[in-house]
Amino acid sequence: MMYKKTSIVLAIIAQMIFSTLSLSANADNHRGIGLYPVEKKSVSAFNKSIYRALIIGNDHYQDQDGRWKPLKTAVSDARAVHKLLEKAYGFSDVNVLENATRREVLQAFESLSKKVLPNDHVLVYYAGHGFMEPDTQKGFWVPVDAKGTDNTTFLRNSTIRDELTTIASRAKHTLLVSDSCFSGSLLRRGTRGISGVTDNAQYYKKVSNKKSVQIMAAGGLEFVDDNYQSSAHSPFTYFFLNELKNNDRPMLTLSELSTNVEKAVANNVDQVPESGVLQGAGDELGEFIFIKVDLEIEGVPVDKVKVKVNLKQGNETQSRQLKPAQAPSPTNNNRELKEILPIPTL
Amino acid sequence: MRYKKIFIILIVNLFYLHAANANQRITIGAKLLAAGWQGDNGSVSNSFNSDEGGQIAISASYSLDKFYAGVSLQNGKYKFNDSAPEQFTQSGRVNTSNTNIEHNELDILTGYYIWDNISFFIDLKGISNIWSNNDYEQNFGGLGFGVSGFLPLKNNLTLFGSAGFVGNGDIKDSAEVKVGNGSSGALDLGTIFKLTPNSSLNVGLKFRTYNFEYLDNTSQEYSINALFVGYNHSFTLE
Repeated sequence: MMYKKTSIVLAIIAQMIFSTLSLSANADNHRGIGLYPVEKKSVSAFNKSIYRALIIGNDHYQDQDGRWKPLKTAVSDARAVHKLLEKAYGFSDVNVLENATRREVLQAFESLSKKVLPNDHVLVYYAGHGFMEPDTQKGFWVPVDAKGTDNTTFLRNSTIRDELTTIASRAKHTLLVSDSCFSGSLLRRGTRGISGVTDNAQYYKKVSNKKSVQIMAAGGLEFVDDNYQSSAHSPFTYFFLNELKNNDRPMLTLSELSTNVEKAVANNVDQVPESGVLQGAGDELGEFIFIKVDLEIEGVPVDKVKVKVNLKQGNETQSRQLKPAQAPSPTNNNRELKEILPIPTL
Repeated sequence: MRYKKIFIILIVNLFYLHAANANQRITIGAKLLAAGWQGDNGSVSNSFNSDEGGQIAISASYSLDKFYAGVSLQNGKYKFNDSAPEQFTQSGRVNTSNTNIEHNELDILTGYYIWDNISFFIDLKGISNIWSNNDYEQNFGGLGFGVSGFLPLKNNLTLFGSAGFVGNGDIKDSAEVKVGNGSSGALDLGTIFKLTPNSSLNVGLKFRTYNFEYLDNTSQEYSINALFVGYNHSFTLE
C-alpha cells in the first residue's frame, strides 16, 4: 500500500518541520518562565536588503473625558507617507496602522522585529498625540484608546526605545520619524550634529555600510501644529513629504533630509524639528539612506530611467538596478503574498 | 526506487532551508472542495458521473525566501448511483455501479520562485481510490512538474493559479502489483483575499484529468473538477 510506504517519509518531513517550529519555543525542563537571549540571524551574502516601514496615524481618539481631541491630519499624513515611500523609494514591506490602540502598536512592533533581516532598512513613522509628564519630563505616544492622563494607557518613550533597539539589533539602518507633541523627548538621551549635504559617492558608501539608529522628531519639548495651511498635513509631515517628493537625487541621507526639513519647518511655523541617534542601540555613525526609484530626468522617458546603486551586502558588493515600473506598488507586496498563498498541487 | 531519490532530494532541500535560518515561515492551510467525478471507462463500458462528491484538504508548507516545500493531504468521497469507474485487477476489468469511492491524494512537493511572481515546483503525487462495495484499492503515483503564479489585483485581492502534469505514473492494485501506467494534468485558478498580513481566504476552481492505460491495452479517462474554498495562515520562525 502506497500510503504505508510514504507515511515514513511523511513522518520524517513532518518531524523536521515541527522540530524547526519547536526551536523557537526553546523549551527546557525548568518550570516557570525563562528568558533567553535572542539569536541573531545569520548574515548571508544572498540576503537582499529590504526597505520596511511601520506607519502609524492616529486621528480618532476615543477618550470619553475629551482629554485627547481628534486630530485632523494624522491618518492622511500616514497614508501620504505610505504612498510616497512605496511608490518613490521602493519600500516593499509596509504595515500601516490607522487609529491604532496601544496593543496594536506593540503587536506591530513585535511583528516587525520578528521579520527584520540583517541588511534591512527599517523606518517607523508615527503621527498622533504625544504627552509629557511635567514632573518627570517623561514622554509618551498617545494611542487612540488612551484614557485621560492615565499614562499606563500610553506608550512610554522607554518602551518605544526598547522596541527600536530590538529592531536595530537586527537591521542595518533604523529610523524613527515621530510627528507628535514632545516627540523631541525621544532624543533627550543623546543627539548629534547633522553633517552637511554631500554628493561624494564615497560618503554614501561609507555611511551605508555602517549601522545607524536614527530619530527625526517633529519638535523638541513643545506642542506641534496639526493642519498646515489646510494642506491636510501637519507642518512637519508636509515638509517631510515635500523634501522627499522634490528630491531629484538617487540617494538621500537622513542628515540631508532632516537639515532641509528642519529649516523649512522652522521658517514657516513656530516649531523646530530635531534629529539625532538613539543612544545605546548600536549606532555606528551610519546613515539611513532613501534610494529614489522613480527618478525623473528631463528629456528621458520615465520608463527608460534606471537607478543603479551599489549595495554592500555581507562580504559581497552587488549591483541593483531599479526601474520605475518595477518599484513595488501599494498593492504588490509579493513577499507577504507568497506566505499566504495556497500550496500548489498537481 | 526513483521515488527514494526524490525523497532524498526533498529532505536535503529541507535540511538546507533549515540550516539557512533566515526568514523562515510555516504556512498551514485547510480547504473544502465541492467536486464532481466524471469520465469514460473506454471501450468496455459506459461513461460515469458522480452524483455526490467532495473533499477536504489540509496542507503545511515551509518557505525560505524563494524556496518552499510542503505536504498536502486530501480525503474525499464520491457516490455513484449508476455506472462507476471500473476496477482494474490483475485478472482484468471489474464493472462497478451503485458504489461509493473514497478518494485520497498525497502531495509532497518543493518549489522555487524563478521570478517574483512565478515559481516552478516538483510534486511527488500519490492517489488512492477505494471502492466501498468490495474494498478494492487502486493506487496511482508519480512525479510531476508544475508552475504556479499570482497576480495582485487590489490591496487585499490577488489572482493565483497553477498548472502541471504527472507524465508517467504507475497504477497498482490492492496487492501493490502494477496493472498499468497513467498520466494526469492539473489546473487551479482562484483568488485569495488577504485577511491579515498572515492569513488569507482563497476561492477557486480545480481541474484534474487522468488518462490510464492498462496492461490489457484498454484505457480509462476521467476528470475530477471542484470548486474550493480555503484558509491559510502563516507563522514566522525565529
